Amino acid sequence: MQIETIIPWMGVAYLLMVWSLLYKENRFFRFAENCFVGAACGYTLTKAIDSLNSSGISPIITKARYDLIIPMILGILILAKFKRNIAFVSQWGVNIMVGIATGLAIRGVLQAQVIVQITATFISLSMMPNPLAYFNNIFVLISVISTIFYFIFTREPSGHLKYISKIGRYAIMLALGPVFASNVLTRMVLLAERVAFFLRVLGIIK
Amino acid sequence: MEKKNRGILEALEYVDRRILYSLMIIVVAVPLIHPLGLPMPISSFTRTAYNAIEALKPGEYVIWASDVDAGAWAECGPQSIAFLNHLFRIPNIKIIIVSFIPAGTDLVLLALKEVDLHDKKYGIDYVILPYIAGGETAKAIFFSDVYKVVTLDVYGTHLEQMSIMKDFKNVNDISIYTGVVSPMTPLEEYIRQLVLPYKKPLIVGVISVNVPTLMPYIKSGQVTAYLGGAMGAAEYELLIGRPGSGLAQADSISTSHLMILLLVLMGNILYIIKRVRGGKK
Amino acid sequence: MSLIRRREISLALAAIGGIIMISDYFINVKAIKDIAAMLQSWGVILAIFCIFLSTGNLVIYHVQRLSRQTKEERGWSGLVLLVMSLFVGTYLAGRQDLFNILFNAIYLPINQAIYGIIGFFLITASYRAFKVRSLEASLLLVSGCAVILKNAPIGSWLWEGVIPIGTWFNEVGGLGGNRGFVIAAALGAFSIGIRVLMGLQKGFAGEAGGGE
Repeated sequence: MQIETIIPWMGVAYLLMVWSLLYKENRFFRFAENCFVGAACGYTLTKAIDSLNSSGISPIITKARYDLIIPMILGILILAKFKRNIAFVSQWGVNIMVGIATGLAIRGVLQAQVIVQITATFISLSMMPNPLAYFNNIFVLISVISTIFYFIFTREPSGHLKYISKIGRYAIMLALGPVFASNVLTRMVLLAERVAFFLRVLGIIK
Repeated sequence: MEKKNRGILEALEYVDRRILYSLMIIVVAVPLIHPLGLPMPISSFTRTAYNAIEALKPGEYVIWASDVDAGAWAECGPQSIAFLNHLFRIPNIKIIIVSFIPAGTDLVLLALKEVDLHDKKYGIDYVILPYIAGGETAKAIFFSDVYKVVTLDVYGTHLEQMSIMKDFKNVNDISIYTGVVSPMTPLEEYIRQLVLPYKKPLIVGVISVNVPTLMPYIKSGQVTAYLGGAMGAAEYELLIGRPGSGLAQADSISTSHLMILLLVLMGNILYIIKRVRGGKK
Repeated sequence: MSLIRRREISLALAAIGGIIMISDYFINVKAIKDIAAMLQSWGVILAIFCIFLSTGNLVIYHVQRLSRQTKEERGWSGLVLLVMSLFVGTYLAGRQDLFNILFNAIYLPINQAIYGIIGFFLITASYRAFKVRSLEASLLLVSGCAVILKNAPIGSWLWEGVIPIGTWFNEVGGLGGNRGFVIAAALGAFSIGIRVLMGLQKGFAGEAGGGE
């Protein structure tokens, strides 16, 4: 028997094992679960080794990028976390990485996610070709301001400002409705795809 | 009679979940076996994505990012196949395939088995780069200088040996950045590291869950166009004239959605009846 | 306490890395750009070693379980280590064909099955949890149901008006709230980032030995 014919049947077997959880917790599900943990761990490890070869070892050997020896050493020191009395050296590499990632994130976050979004909200007020566009743009403006009001950055809104916070709650609920609907679509597609796979392997559909 | 009605209502309210699960499997399976053939409207964002790729000129470079894990493959798989079928159909463009998620490269190799390559040659017309770890840091350095972060392709060949890489050094050399993005890669990383500094058009396939959160970036122009989940893939398959798994699932999606709506409606009717009965007492 | 064990060294390293990244963005000096590019390529390699750390943690956990736990749990830990060894072994042996078989036969189908099962839990949630208990819940349900109908092709087949209404909820009704989330989250992320670079957020620095 060819391996190509066995692989789909293994997929069906694992599908039935995982979905047996819908009936009740059982050993078949735990078998599939533990297979997956091992598979995910092993697979990610091999991909990381690939990435290390392409981004670390190969540039040192072929492009004389000897500066990359420093992160290699820091990376090996990260693995010292497993030994309690020298675990402190693992923090150096981790913290450099955290600092780099933090710097990269915050240097663009205000421009990309705050200023551009606020600009887009207000610029739309100048583009109102018809009454519906007028209503939509004002609606979005009120929703944005009230939603931000709902999140407390300084002190809790009191007095009349509480009403803006309340409108913010309604705007958030309106925003969560499409999120729920999109969640339904995603989950149903994931379900339908597995049912289609099952039917295909059984030869009921092509 | 009232006791009997109350019995039926309670039975409906506390129906065994396994009955609901079985019903859902039937509702999903039947349209797969006997398709309904419902018409599929095409959204403006899918058309914008299609037109942008169709407008690519010979010699232009495109990056295609496979930032997807196996869990999202049910939605992103049909999108990947549809996108790649379209890209490979455009004559004389150069396609750089990259991934910032571990499973991305293996999944794109899986997708390419179902793509018509139109005689495009590996190493000349397209190349697949290996997984680059590091998330946003990897994206930042990759976009500014490819050779600082990757030197080999997915098969272990040196990039300098490939003719496709001769005119490609960084993201300034590309016309469009496309790809499929699962929740494992926050889209904000692309906004901050690609769109903001380099101003490149970004066309992404996302899973349906991400569509509402993507909307602010669409409306502000930071993301040019998107494909929304499997329905977006189905629409794209219609546009490129290659029906695939996206369209095949469309009818199942319709019937399952109807069932969800009916369940929500039934649950609320039972809740209202219970409240009214509780008020009467 | 030894100087090199102090937490301040770790925090200073994070701050220096972050400041160089920010300077690279705002200051157009070649030396800073070169150092920033070099640090970014370092970050990629450090991220890979963090993956090694996390997988190592998992391996140690399961190896320890092999000796300590009940017979059943020893079996499960053994299974985890066996499957992991299969993947790593075929990769190190250069057998890409076997590796692909393992990927297609184990990793991919179980991953997809686990994500597929969530759809069933959504069914019970839709039936039991989504009730119109208040005005907020009603708003959520109405907008959700409108977009559900718009997402499914059958919605537009039943009534053409479903598309403009669902599109309105998706692109206008929910836009304000989602935009508010984006702005609020960005402000929160920015403030956390500044705290990290100023050394006020010590959680990630761990037990560097230097303590208060």
